[in-house]
Amino acid sequence: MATAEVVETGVTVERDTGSFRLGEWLIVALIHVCGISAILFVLAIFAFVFGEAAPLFWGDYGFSFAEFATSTHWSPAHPTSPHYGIVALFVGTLAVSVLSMALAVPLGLGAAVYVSEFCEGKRKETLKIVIELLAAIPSVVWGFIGVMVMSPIIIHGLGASIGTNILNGGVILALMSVPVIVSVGEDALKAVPDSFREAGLALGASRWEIVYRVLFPAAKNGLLAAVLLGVGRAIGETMAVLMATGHAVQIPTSVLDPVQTLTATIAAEMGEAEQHGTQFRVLFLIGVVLFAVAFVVNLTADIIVKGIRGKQND
Amino acid sequence: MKTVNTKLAALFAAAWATVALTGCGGDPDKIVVVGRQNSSGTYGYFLEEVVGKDAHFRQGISAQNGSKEVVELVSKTPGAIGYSGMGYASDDVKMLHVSKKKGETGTEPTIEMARAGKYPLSRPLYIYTAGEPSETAKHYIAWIKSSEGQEILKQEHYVPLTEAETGAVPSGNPPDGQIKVAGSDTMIQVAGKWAQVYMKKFPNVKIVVEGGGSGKGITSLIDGQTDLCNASREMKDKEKADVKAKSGKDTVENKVGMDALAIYVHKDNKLNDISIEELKEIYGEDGAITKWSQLNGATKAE
Repeated sequence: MATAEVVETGVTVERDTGSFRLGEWLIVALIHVCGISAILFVLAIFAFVFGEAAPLFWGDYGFSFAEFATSTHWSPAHPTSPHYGIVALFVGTLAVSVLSMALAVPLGLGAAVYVSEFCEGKRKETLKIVIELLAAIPSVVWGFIGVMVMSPIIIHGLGASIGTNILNGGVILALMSVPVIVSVGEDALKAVPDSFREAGLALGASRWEIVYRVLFPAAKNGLLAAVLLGVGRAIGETMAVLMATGHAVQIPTSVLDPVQTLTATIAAEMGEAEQHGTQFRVLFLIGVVLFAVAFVVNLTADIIVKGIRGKQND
Repeated sequence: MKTVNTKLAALFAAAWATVALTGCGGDPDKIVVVGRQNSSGTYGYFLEEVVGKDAHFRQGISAQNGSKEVVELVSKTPGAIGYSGMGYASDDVKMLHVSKKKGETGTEPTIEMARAGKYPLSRPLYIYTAGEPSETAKHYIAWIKSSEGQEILKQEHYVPLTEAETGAVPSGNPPDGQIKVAGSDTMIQVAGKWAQVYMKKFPNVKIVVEGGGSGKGITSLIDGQTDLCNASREMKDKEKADVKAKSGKDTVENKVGMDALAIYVHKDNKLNDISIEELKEIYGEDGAITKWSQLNGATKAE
């Protein structure tokens, strides 16, 4: 009995060292795979989306890239003379996103400053929980709010002729982006060392001056990241804008005009587009455009952040 | 101090009201044009019947993703006009009487008028299969075309087949089986009802009904993902050729009823009649009618 135990222990110890090395190697490999997988996924998705769109350029699809890039006419399912112009859709996305950011950035950053600097104890905890809850509301529910609540308010309150429009979509998207901006923005402000605030106080700065002159410059990168995440959410959102923007192809002349966005177009038309037909492929090309927009936004952010870092190092 | 505050508040309220009404371009006389998304069978039908096959819709038409959504939006928007199946009427909207030419008295969208060919916006509804369907599906289609199926169609405010077109109620029980149905949103209401009543009568048959639009139903039929395809338009020759290419079978067409497309406006709208010519001016590209005051007898709902 005793001998057996010793033998077993010996074996176990042997195996432990072996499996320890093996385990470590495995974990290192796994982490490598995790790290690289993000790149692989992005490349794979891009290859897929671009692959579905690419035949437009050499196949016989009656598609002209010049029309795609310059025309405001979008009538891809027309029986005799379809038009595939992206301009009105692009302007629609731009209009809704810009309005939502104009509303969400001040509101979100303001809330982040309040939660992080001017608010303590129970109130702070409650606020943080409620804001996180706001982020968890599904976009379809936001769409419902847009159609059922916002739309009558816009018609009767503002005298608009239609309740689902840029204003409706912009407000809904702003409300959806605010929680993202608040959570990330608050983390960024929290990361500024207290010694900065104390130094400000010692110099006789008021609380607002500390926020404006000390915290904002110190937390610039994080706040920018917060805003860009908000922009990402606004551009990429589909369901809520599909329901709240009115889904009408046109160049808007006021915020009370309905518009159609790039994402909503894909969502509404992909299901019924003839597979591998022209409309199907043009919708994928819109996907490529959205990809490009996301890439430009992220790249700009990177360049700005690097620029800020560079200046700080000088 | 308090009076200054009140005055300031009043000033701001007035300023904002002006900004809202004039600055943003809200015009109570403007016609809000509501339509369907471009892959819907209803869109294609309306384009061909009203706007013209080679013409285009105007820009800025609010495209809804379903028949019900059109009626819902019109019921909430006092200045709106929209087209959708006759079966979707609600208490908050009004169906206009439609005539072919301007100035003529319009025809009310009713079953009798559509069947008699007097109502201008009516169209046949089809069920397509790839080749001869299974015995179960055959029994089901025969039942739909019989007086029992047509009675349900009538109850759902569609236009039933004429007596000559209506078949006898199929005798005997169908063999056990499952039937997948996909397609037209216009038909989804009645397709669901058919399935429900039929399954109650013959519990050994299971029927699954999906919407998504005529286009999607036809795509599913081509891909072999559905047994029956509901369509509110005729299948194109190319689509039939695709079915042949994929499955080697010819498409079988069954006319199962008719649908009348109603023109909906808000219930408080004073307008009662409209012509196809006027609808063309409202919906078509470069159409001349953009305001309610341009239509005879219409004043915008308050």
